Amino acid sequence: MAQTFITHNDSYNVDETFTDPLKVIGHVPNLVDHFANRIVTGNWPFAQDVFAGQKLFTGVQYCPHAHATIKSVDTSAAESMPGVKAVVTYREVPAPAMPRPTTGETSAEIIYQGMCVAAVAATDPFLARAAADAIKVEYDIHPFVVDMDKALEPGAPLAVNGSTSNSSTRVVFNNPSTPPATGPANVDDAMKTADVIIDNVIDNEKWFGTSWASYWSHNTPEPRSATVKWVGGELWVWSGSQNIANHITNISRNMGLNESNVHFISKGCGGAYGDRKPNGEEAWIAALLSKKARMPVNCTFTRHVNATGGATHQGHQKSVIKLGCKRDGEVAAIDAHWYGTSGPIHLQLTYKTDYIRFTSTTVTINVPRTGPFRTVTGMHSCFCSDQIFDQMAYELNMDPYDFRMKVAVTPDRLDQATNRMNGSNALRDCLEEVGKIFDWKNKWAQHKAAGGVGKARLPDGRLWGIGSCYAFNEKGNSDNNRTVIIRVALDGSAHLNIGTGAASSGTHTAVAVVAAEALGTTIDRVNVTVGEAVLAGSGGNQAGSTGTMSNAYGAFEAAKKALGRMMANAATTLKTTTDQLVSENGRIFMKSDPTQFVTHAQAVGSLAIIESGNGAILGMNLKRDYLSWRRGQANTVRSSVADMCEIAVDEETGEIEILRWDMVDDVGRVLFPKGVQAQLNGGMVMKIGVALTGWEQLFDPGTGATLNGNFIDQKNPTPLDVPVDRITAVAYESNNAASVYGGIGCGEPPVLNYVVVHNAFYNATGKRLTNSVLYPARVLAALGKI
Amino acid sequence: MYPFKVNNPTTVNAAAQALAGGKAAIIAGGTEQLFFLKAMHSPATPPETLVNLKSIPGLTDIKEEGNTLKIGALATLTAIANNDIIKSKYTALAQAAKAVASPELRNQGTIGGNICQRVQCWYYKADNNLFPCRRKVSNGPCYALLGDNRYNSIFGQVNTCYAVNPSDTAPALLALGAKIVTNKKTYNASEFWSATNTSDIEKTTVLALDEIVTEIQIPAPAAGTKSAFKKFALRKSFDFPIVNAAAVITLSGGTVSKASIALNAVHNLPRKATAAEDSINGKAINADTAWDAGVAALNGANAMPQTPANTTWDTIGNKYMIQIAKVLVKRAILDCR
Repeated sequence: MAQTFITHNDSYNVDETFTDPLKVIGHVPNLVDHFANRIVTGNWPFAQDVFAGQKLFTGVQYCPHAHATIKSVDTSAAESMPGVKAVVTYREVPAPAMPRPTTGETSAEIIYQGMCVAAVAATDPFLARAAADAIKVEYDIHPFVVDMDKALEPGAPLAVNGSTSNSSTRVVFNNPSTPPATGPANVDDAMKTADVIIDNVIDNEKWFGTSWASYWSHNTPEPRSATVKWVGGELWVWSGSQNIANHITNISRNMGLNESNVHFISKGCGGAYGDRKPNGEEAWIAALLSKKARMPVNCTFTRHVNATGGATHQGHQKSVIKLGCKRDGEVAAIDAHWYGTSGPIHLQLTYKTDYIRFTSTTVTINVPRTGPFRTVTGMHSCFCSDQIFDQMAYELNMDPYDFRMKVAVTPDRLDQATNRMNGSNALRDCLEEVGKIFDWKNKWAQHKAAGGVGKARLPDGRLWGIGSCYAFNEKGNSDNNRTVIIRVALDGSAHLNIGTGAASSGTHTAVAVVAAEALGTTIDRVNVTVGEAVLAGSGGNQAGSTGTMSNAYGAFEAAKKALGRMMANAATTLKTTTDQLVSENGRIFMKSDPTQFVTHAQAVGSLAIIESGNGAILGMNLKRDYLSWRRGQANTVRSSVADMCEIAVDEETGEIEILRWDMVDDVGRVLFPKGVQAQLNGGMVMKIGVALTGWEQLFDPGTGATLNGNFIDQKNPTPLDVPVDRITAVAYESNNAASVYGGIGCGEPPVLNYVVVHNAFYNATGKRLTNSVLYPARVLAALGKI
Repeated sequence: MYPFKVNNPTTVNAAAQALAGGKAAIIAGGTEQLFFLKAMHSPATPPETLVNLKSIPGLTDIKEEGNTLKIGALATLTAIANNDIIKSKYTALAQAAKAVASPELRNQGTIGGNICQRVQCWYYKADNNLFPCRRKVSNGPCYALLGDNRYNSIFGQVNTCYAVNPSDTAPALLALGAKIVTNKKTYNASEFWSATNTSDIEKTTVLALDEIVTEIQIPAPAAGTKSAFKKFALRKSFDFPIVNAAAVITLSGGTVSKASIALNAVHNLPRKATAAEDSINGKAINADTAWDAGVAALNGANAMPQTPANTTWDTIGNKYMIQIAKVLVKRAILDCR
């Protein structure tokens, strides 16, 4: 894939805190991932590697039914097998370990296929699994529902026994909350002022303004794994997690331990790489088995259990939107209703209007619970929102690019969901830049000249279409707890410990860069360690979504405190005041005479300097003045991204070929170029999988079981499925006011806009498909071929 | 994964003896056998021993002898795909071998293993025997009939099973008129997959427990013959076929004098499309005649039932396979011009 960096911060108006010219950021050639060598050479000690040759292995029996009650469990056959050292059942397990509908209690109710019922620890993994299979379980089987629409029908089976309904509905926000002094009083009145309304029927075709987003699993190469060992009354756990604090809290609370007696080693155990459930039952199961067996126990799930038995999924979502616009494109009102099986729900807030009503209905069905995911529900949000706006451009006879430019929410407006200003809005910039790269205006004209929607063809006869899209990443609002400790050693080198899991390979490297910049030292003298359980802040969320911003701010704060003490020492030595000093390249010197200096080692003195920082406040206020807003103004952070795509549609087979796909992603300032590139490339791959190759988790309508919990049937794209020579992924360096040195997260926006393929599909065929994956079957049906 | 022992015979006879007791299974490339063992997928008792054919010399050769191409059963799919003779004279087979799975699996997988694959169905192949279907349990249900059958048979059931044969090389061999040589006899390709009337529904071939494929023989094509293979899958890099097709066409004076056409992944067994052959024979090849042949090839095809009980918002059914199969037959024929 082609990568480019577009920088729009030549006169970077950084906060007075950051006025020194940058010396590290953007000035380290060939900066590589801090842990890359360890990962690619297999020297990263994952949980399975701990206690090699000394530990027991776990087999798990999981329920084959989507909804049932356990009547009995007979473990005698398993217990009598030679080599089996311990057996546990659901009765012995606190709720979070083998999740049950009644939190805090053991329960015999199964609410999705793949819930763990019992587990065995044995001397080899084959025996463990065979022993788990030997456990006899009897069930009362109940009616189930795995389809959200069917769950909402009167008389539908209840997904959870004892509940009164499968759904609950609430109005998330209804703006304006009070009638304004002038203009329409509310969304309904504003909708009446629209010249064009899209609501259920377009051009006499049944297109309901409805979009269905898939149920997704990360389907990671590394299945969840934990190794545990009891030492006296203390529990040692080696496992990956991206929410260490909550993991420790839950383990200690449910095992009757003090948090001080739970030692959670996440660093070097996969961190939050791969499957990243924060409260994985693998640790619980291993802990219970280890306690009984009095030996270290590893619990590593199989591929199928990994896909069914826990989190890291994204639930189904469905949107129904009524959109009204004036003839000139101005948005009169948006009335949106979201249906989702669980997790947070977002409406894309990229469209400028004062009149938005957003209603959500949470629906419970018998599928595995949802959990952390790359841009949690962001892909849903974009897909479920965007097609109707794209369609509106055509209804208004406008170029979609012009329509998007006109209605894009601008930085001077308050965010509709948070009522805060947005300190990172590069929406229009991203669209403009991708429009230049894609040459949108020329292609649009060529497409119209070739017949326009549904008629333009390529020389080989296939239908030809282009599409555009933009989105906000909605993940910038978490009040995350990110503790960072810095220790400047006697030799002047800096060592940072962070209490969060490594959500990506780039976060900690970006943090190292920020720390080096703030200290005025070189990157080779900074070491960052992630996954320090002692530093994991209790409560809140330490997930990856805002890792770069929050961790970097924590590191910045800690580094500046440490530098302040070093400066004071240096001022004494150099017989001056700190305002006359500068720190750079590991030295603190006189501004007026650089030959007079002390090294950082000298400035540290005889005791290492230790300071802390906390990134919790980041994302909540501006780091500098921005437009008419003042520094300190409460703000929200929404990364922007825009995509354009060109496709060919084979009418005979329903196959869609990507001819070109360009993306521009606002990353604020680039802190770690290779990390940014990796995130952008990975995002493109994920979008291709979701739109085209069939990367979604499917449930059997007949049994409710996961049908495709493997790499064959759940069709993640492989590198050979990605047309790398036709893709350009661009990092746009915006003039960002939301974070330290202007760097914001870049891992999530690149995955958002797979809907751009759908928009190109409409342009090519004149048809809208309302499900995430453009399966050939759906294409052929839409084109009337079957 | 089930535990197993490994037997390394040095002769085919020794391998056959090791297999005779019924407690052993063959391993060659291992790409399928290990999948089943790893997924703890077995209808009955898992094999105690894997008989490793790779320890037997002489089973990887590819050579032309007289008017016959001889391919050792352990020739890898990569070797077949890259063989110049096969690429030029038996093009459909080279194309089919190159379309199998991924480069890594083609480097490991063998032609013998590819034609002996078990059927493909996500219910049948589910981890840990999650769905005790008709192929595993006597009188068990066909879950595909009751559930999501987007990749299942469009030509009905065999012994109440709607799974499909997923081999990419099988239709090419069938269309090329290949013979399958074993340690016991030589089969025409058209009879090799005749598992229809067997009492053991797990089987996909006619092979006995102690019978081993040793060689594949393909007669040299007549002058004026061209062949082509087409595969349709969601992932182009690594996937089983949704549909595949092979055509072998001999042209005389601008018209088709002989056509041999086969389909796979549409039924329990690879399928010779005789109606398509009849349709194109004697005609010049063009888009219309090729399409007519494609339509003829799908005579009798039917989508599996979609009912409220097995339909969700995500249902796509398998009707689309009929359309795609028609197109693949058409395009394979057009490539033989």
